[in-house]
Amino acid sequence: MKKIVIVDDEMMNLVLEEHALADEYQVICATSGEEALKAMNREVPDLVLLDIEMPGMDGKTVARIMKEDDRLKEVPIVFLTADSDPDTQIECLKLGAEDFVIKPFVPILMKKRIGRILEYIDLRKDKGII
Amino acid sequence: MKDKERLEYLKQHEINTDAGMKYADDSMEFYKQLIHIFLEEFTIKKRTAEAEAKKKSREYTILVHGLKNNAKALGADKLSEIAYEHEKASKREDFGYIEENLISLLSSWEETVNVFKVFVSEK
Repeated sequence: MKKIVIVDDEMMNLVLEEHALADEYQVICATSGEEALKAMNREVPDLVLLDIEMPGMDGKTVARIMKEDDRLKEVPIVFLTADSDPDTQIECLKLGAEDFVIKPFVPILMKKRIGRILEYIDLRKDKGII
Repeated sequence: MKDKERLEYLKQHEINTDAGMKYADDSMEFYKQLIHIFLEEFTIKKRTAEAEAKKKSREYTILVHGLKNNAKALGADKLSEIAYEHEKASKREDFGYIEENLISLLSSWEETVNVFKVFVSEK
């Protein structure tokens, strides 16, 4: 079972995200950027679902730290954002994100989207691209 | 109240139940679970909002940003829009707007909480 770390400071979002993913993935919840990095250092996940706006270390900082870490730099990042502003979305992609999910989301659609990203990552691995 | 009556009650109070149920995977039980979280967090978050608004802090932006999302996920569109105005004001450091409209935000938040309390009550 693939492991997904979900990072969100809002309990309601964590519950929604876990609800969407827990039947197909092993989900590890973190309520802050710091907690997420600790969890990922213990065990490298297959994907991280990362909220942008959080108190303390925000999602963008977490992404930058991951990209500088040899163990974590290849972990696919999907940003969670409530911001439909294209500039935010471009910034997410420039930070090396695979994709972003706009909140609030419909659980089934989010699950499908994450599933497709993981399939694509597997395909890239099979082809030796990453 | 039966579930259908409960949803009707929310609609009468301008809650977009179609959206709320959609985000809750069309599950009444899950929708109620999310509403319970919203209710449980209210007192402490309201207190935090009052304190952080006075401090003019980044935490206020994050708090109203979260409120905007949570309210929208439950179908409380009006509250979500008010929270969004506060988020924008906080980002542009328009503390005058926040000071003038904080009571309106808190009242709308409390009204929404009271509507949801009736929705999840055992009666």
